Amino acid sequence: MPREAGSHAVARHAIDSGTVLACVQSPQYRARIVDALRNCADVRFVETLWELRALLRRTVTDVGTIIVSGHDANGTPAAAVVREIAAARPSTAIIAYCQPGPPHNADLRALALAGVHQFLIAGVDDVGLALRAVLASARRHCAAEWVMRDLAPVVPASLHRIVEAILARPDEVTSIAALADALSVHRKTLFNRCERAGFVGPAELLAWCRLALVAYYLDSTGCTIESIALEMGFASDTALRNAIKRYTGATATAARATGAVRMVIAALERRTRPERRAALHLV
Amino acid sequence: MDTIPASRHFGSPAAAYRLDAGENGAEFSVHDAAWLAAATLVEHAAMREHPERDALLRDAIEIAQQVVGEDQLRLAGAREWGDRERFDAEILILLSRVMREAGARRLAATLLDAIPRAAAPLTSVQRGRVLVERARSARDAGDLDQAVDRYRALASLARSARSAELRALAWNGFAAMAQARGNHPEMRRYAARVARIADREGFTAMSRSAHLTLMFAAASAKRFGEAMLEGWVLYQRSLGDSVQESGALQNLGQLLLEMGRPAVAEAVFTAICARPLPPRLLLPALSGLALASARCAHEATLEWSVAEVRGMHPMVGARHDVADALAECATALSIAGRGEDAERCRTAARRLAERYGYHAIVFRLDGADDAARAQSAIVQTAELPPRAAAIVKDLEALMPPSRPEHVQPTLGVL
Repeated sequence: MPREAGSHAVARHAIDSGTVLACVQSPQYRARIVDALRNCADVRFVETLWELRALLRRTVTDVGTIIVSGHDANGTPAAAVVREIAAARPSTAIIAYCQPGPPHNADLRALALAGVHQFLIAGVDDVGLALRAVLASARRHCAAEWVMRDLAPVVPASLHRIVEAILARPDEVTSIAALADALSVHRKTLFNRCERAGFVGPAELLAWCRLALVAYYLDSTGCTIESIALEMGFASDTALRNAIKRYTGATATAARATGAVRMVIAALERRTRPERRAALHLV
Repeated sequence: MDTIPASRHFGSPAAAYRLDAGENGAEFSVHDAAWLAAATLVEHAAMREHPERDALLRDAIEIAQQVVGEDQLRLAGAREWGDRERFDAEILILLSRVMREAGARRLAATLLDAIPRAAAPLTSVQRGRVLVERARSARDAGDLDQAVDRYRALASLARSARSAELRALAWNGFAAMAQARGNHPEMRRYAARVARIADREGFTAMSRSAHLTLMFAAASAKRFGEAMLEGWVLYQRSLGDSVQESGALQNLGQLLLEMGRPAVAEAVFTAICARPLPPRLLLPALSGLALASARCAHEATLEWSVAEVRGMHPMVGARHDVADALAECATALSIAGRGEDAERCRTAARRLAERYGYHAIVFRLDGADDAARAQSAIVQTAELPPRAAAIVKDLEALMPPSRPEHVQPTLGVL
């Protein structure tokens, strides 16, 4: 591929989307989904919400993402089923495929309330890279919710907002300057907040949060370290491997085998015990 | 309302809306879905590269224009920024303000967070305008520490960009923070600096805000002559814009009440109530009218204004203003010696305030008898400087049209 053409033609989101279940009726929309997710996800379509629910009950496959339109082939509104899925499968990303414009406004609102993570707006951002970006964003949101649940008891409450900002955009918030920018505060404010909370500094907090997210991907997907490093904005897979080793004392493979999230959280707990506050070498 | 609870939104408009709606218990307006669509498009634009990014942003701007109205946006934009460093996506800042004022503050925050990424590259001044809105949003949510931190970041940006506008915006924020913390000398100091810069550079919106703060500072110190002069400057700066003008009159009316001139205040409040205005302006005008008429013993006006406030009770999005107005009406009815009616208003206000956590109003309701006594005890300020006295005369001459049958609240007005 010529270098000039590459910059925005290459998929930025390398993490495998796993199995995608879609309850979408329009053949045109189905074609767009298949086209966008070719080679990066196993896409299965169902006609009705009843079928979707039944499939989710009996499948043992890890369903990473569900795409639903406002109504199924029988005209049943999707909101109730979305609510059920969101409660039963908190680590599954739910995306609503919506039509733009006032006639469909009620669907948009009902689906947001029911628990969807993202919207695909038909004819606007439902093709190719745009569709993949929306999927990745919904998956990231799920991952962030999951990781936050584990980090919240370990990190002081006054720093939760910082953790949220890191987890929300881990591929972009990779430096103190970017973190300060994401929170709309001065970088000194970040140091002051961490100091007031008696916790590790912002750079180290940033590293721990990103590692917790890496650990989530190690635990919940079969992705390679290379693809996780790419998704999370690490300089290389080696940089990520070194960071895991330095912070947890274990290799990435060992972390995956024994439960990576648990390992990272345990390491953070050890690190933040008062007697262990000597500075770590940061990435 | 049937929602899945989520404690954090991680920048997702859908999750942010879910949190806001869960807190609100109902729709914010008929435009909720359009807000969601606009915020989603801006967030998606932030994830994309040119030229898809620009197309998504254009779609979001189009939604904002449909929802708020092009004329409104033009007027609000001109009032806020004049013709300095304008940019297309600034319309979305104004849309976020509509969302925030309606109560969808998390959704507004996700929109604001995405604007600088979606509309990049922005100049320092343009980024500062987004930042100041984020600070206001934190302030409105009661998160004063976060608001102060953002104003500090703005001050730092102002220094590096050598921008008078950003410097004045940051100081304006510090003045508001000082006011929230009851530090009136500091509030006055910052407001005076902002007024100086804003008047010199022609920043109308900031000048209004600074003179309002100076008016409040002077009135708190019982320097009513000075407060009246500041209020008049505020009024002059607002002429030509019905909403702003009514806001200025509303503040002058409150000042007149404080100065012990309820008859003039009554004329001013009646003039405001005759206009179609957003609830955030109509409700305090109605409660002010109730207080003024109670002190003038104008029973019919008191009755009308209390009934109008009660009529606006079910309006969503203006709950704080409704609770506040009901509390004031309770005080007015107590002054008029109508204990039972006052108690009914107080109960309604308390129910709203306790349900939605408006602690300042609950605190005020606990001391309602003291408030009624204090209002009754206000006597007319003896002497005013000649210029301030002339202003009072001008306001007296504001003979309002006859009281309308009902007030006309307008929604979604900037």
